[in-house]
Amino acid sequence: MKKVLLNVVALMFLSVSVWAQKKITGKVTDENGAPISGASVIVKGTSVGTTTDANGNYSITAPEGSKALVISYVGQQNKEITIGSSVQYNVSLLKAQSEIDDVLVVGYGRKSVRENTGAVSKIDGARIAATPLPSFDQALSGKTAGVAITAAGGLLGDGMAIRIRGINSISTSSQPLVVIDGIPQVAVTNLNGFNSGDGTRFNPLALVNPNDIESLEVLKDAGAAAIYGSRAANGVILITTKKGQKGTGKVSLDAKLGFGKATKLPELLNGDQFIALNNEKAVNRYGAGTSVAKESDLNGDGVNDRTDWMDLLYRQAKTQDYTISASGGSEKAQFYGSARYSDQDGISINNRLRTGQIRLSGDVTPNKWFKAGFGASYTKSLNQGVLSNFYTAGSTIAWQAPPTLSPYNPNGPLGYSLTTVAPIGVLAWGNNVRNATTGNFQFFHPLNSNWNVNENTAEDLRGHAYAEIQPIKGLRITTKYGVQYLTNYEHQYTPPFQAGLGNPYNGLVQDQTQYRALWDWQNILSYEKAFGSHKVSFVGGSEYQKNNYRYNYLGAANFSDPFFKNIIDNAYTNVQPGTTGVLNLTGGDMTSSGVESYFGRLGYSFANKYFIEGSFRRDAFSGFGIDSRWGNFPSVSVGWEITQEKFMQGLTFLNYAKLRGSYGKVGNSAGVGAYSSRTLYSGAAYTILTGLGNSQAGNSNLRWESSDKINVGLEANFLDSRIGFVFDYFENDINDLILAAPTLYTVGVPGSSITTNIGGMYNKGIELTINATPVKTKDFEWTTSFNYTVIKNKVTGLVAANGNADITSANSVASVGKSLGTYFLYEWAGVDPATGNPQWYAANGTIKRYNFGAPAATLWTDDKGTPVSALGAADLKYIDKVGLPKWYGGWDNNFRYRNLSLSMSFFYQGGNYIYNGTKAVMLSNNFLNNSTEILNRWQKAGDVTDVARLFMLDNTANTASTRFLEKGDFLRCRTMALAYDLPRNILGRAGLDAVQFSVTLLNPFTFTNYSGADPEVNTNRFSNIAVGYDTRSIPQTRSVVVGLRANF
Amino acid sequence: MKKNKLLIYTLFAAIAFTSCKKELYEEPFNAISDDAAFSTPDRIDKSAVGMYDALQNANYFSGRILIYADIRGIDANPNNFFGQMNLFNTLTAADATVASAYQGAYRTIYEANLFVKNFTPKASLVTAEKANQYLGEAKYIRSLCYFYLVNLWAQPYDFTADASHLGIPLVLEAASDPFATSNNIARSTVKQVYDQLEADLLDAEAKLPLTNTDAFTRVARATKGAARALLMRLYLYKKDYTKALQYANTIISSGIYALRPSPEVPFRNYLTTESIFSVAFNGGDNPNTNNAIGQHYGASKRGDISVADEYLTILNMATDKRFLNLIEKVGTNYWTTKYNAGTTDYVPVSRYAEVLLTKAEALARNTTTGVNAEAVGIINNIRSTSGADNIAPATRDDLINLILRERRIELAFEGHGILEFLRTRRSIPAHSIVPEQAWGSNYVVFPIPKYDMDKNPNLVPNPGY
Repeated sequence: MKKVLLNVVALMFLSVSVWAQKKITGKVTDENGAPISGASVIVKGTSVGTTTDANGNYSITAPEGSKALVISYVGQQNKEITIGSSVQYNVSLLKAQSEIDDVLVVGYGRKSVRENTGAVSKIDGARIAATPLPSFDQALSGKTAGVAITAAGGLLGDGMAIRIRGINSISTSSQPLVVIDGIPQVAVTNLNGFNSGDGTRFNPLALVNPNDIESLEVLKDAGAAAIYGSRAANGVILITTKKGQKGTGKVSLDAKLGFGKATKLPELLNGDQFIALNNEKAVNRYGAGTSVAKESDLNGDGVNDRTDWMDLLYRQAKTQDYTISASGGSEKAQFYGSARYSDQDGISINNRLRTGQIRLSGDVTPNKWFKAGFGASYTKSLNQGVLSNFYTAGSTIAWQAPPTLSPYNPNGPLGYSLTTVAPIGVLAWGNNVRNATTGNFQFFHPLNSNWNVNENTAEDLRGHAYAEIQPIKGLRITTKYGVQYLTNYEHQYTPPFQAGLGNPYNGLVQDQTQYRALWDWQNILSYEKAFGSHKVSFVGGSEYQKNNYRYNYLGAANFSDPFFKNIIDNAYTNVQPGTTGVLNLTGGDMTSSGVESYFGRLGYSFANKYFIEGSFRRDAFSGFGIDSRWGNFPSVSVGWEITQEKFMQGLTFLNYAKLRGSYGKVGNSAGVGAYSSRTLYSGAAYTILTGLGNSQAGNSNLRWESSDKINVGLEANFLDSRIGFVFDYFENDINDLILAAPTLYTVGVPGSSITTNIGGMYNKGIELTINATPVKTKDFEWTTSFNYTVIKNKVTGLVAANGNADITSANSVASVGKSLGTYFLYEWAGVDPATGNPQWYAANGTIKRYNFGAPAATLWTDDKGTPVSALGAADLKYIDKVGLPKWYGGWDNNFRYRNLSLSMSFFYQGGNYIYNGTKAVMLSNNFLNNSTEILNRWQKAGDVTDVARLFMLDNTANTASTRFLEKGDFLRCRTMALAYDLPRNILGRAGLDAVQFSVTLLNPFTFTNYSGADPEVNTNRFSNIAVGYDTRSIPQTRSVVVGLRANF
Repeated sequence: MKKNKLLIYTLFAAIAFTSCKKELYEEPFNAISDDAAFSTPDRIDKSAVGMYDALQNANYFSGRILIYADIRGIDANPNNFFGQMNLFNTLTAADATVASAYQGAYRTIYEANLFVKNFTPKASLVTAEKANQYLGEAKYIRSLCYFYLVNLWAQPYDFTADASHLGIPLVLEAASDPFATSNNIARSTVKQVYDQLEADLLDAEAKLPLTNTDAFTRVARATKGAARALLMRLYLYKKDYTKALQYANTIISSGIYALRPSPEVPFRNYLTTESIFSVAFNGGDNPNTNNAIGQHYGASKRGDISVADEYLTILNMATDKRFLNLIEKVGTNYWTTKYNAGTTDYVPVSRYAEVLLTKAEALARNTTTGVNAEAVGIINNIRSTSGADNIAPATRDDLINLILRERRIELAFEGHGILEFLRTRRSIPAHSIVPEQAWGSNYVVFPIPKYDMDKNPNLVPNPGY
């Protein structure tokens, strides 16, 4: 090794003074011949360099002995020109192919991978569009290190919990900032308001057309994200939409047609089993001979009813999605336009999402120093929702419907078997016994979505325009103004023959419109200059953002006739039947907030070898107290391209290696209310009396939550860049957590919480990405990309005044010294084989047994029959298991043989435990249907099983405990796609550029030991603590999608 | 040229900047500050109304707290909608329904305490009469909340000889720093709580108006009658029958109230002279579908709570109007129709029949031997207006038992259920699927919620939880 180095030095020495100093000029252009301004021209092996002017011209004086020029520009491949006898060298740069010359979109600018010193992942838009899912965010699963996407379930248009490097907040939002074409988006994860936004749901990111995405960058560390200051703690997602290219004219058509089914549905008892098991529940409680479950014939066909509810509730879902786009441009003007229509059915009946959208953007450069452009999109979407989990009328609660009842009755309302005497509007129970001993058995009709309406009409209008002047070379002044108008009209209707909201109101319509408006104005000054090998860059600017929110609610009840299903003048009275008082079915709210920001970034690099960058942002948020509204968010990052060092030159197998590190402070204000710091009195009516009441206890010291982020990364490419890897170590230390800090109930403040800065938490982890092209021949190529993330989380402080008491959510806690979301449960001790009674371990490790049907004194005993106190809160234990995956990642493979390519995309996660709440409810002792697991119930002395003796109406055995905690590890094949590109010679004849046929399988197979329907689940959606719950979420979809893409 | 361009740009930016900056920091549209809420007599009056809005708490005086007392008694069938509380032995300190009620009680108390705190420095803005009314209302509302807290979360007054067993934390001032350790208030003894309630209610009685001229505020806002009726119940629970009798008599002799002509009347017209105090509700502020008392009891509404057979056996289903006019049979179940307006029923707190029943009980108990004829007369008056036959008890004990039975019949589903057993040292009999709960046993009182237990080191849990 040493020898090689010495030889290199010797050679260089020898070459000195062979040439005399010489002036060289030339012009640098891109592939299409357009001049490149600002390209760097360096004399190889020296610190002599210059940059091209606005016309792409350069002039450089090469010292004696110069052998070559290296020309480089962001987004273009570096080019080396051997200096011969000529004094003029015109250079045409090719578009970057290699990753290190690729352009990254960063905050308020662009950079090459080489220059980048922060942790940034770039995902190509095509990879997102290739995953046929309703919203682009879900398609990010496994696509890049450090990003975990958790779906609540398979409900169409449902929000995704996007977690960049773990959960970085306890009670405020942990969703990243999403920026589209430089404009931060309205931070809302669900446009629905009814049912506390928990019934049918709609995610505004589902309004983005994946086909319009050129690239998506994820800013993960402070080095990359701190320029977004107060909103960067959860990371930033930058979306860049497609633009027209100079000198092209393209039309592209993309069509997809798909058919999907549930990945897995629970196995339920059939009719005979339902009768037998429910009668066993009754016999065990009320004595031999009790019979509660009976045969019925509701549909009057003369035979006993048998219904497979799953068959009726879930279906083969059709989806179609078409995008047509046109783009092009001349030297001076470029445009891009697209239109899309998509129509997706959910696997649940009546769940359907239709979207139409258009997008247009243009850029014009009338002269050398001025440039302007705009982008606009409009999307309208109709989401026919279904109530999901949590709701008695929901589509998964129906899993417990008796299979011995027919949904149909020719004499019932609309031909369905609904009750017509009180309780009116529930599933008719036939001959089944209904009284206190059976819990007054009643059931919402599982097919109620056939007549209940839950519709969302969302509209999203986004637009931005910019103007840029370049008064002197390298200096750009840009102003950019963007708006977003996001509205959602929600319409709910329940007819009079339906229980719940229908019958008591003689028909009820509830409508709600939410208006969100945002404007954002940015003024940016950027300057770039190279002096020889030195390069400095500066970006500075201001940004002002305003958010307005308003919602109006109105309802109508007691309709003239079930014919009316909308608010129509005089068709309703709003008097609840049987009463005289008028219901006030109106409501509304209105808030606004603003963010004022100033920021700057200063970068310096030397010889493309050493990079240092500092950024600073100062933000003020109107929601914070007047004295603590401003926050400062600095960061510094460095990079060292080791392979530029001479001593590395001999390592020919190593093409590129860079070490980088960053440190910075960023903030989080996501989810902080518009007026969080204030003590407020709001309207507080007492029937006919108007009043004012305390609605919020304020905290005038409320300030930014701050995260100290450290990142150390290493990037390297080997073997002609056939193998590349990126490694990052990160630490995120969060202090002054903005917490809806729980107060004692006895303090009595509204909501028993005050938004305050309390406590701390850290996330530490490692990310690894490996990209490789193991095989590359003329006909066959295999490319693969693998990523892995491992995260460790610990809560370091909560509310000290409360003695750092745990914050509990469902069966999980935030507890000091433990990982966020640690389970806190009773420890299951199994079923006593002698009696079939359920047992748990008490706090002291002894057994507490619940003796079904025993008198109060002996209801709870130990395993020897001695009475003990009931299983209580003192017996809850910290279970060293968490709901959030500890490691996750993805693995993409692409095999191409001539024109045929096969790609397989996997994602995986693990180290987490899922609380299988579905299992608990599906083992219910109520008079309801069960999963087939209940067939394992204890029946006689000596039976060894985990399912206790059946006992009508007593669900103590199903109390939340470790019994329902299951490993959540899985490996899922997200997509498997086969694509065929028409050969060039055929295309040429037809005047086509490219035509591709593809067949994609979505979620074709999954490896998991999880016993529930789907391990890709979290019913609690955005909860930061109660992560990892499966409470009858609608399963994910497995589908086959046929696609056609044609470029003209 | 270039300089000019820069100048124009800078000028434009400066103008735009100043105009947009103002817009970034807007005052709230949906609320005012605490200072503003007490800045004028009119706003102070509205803030006093705000205490009643707080009293409508969805988890407390929406009617929920009355429901909890009743579903732990024996006249309402157990229902799992309210968690484990009606099953006793599987109730835990982590129970969410119990926690929400406890939270709702103290939330209401906070509003009253906060009113007093904000109002005191501004008292001079209003007349002395108004000031007295507001402060009286604050104390009444606070006492009403504490009354249910102490009787549902602690063993009854005579559980120990001197009532020295633990009651509930007494929070008598709105915290200025919600996180100060001074908020870690320990449980007062039941005696201390009762003493505080007595003092507060006496003060409220002194300050409140005797009655109000319009029917709505006579029933729906606190009056001397309301304070006296609660004091009367407090003395009854303390077994201070002399004082209970005294307050019953004061209410009767005020001449403001009269026994309902028929038992259903106060439930069809909320503003008759039968009603002394009710928490009012209308279609404008109903505590939503899942919390209104009428939703839970109404057969055609949510229909959560049906009437137990135990109740039907203590009245004459053929003649008693409390069955005929207030119970309906739907399907196989019986349902109370006391609350048949869905979301707009008033929640009854004190009414005249309770005053008469208390008077009868006090008379009967104060009569050391034999049957008190006046008490018999009171009961027979209530029964005859209800279509029930007269009672003719042979002994003092018979009379007391018949009075207790009459209370059960008359005041059913009005929040007396389990409390009647506890104050009279009776066990709660086995009923439906619930085993017998012995008087004084652990699970007849609610747990102090784990949520507060975790945070306040001075709290002692109820035994067994």
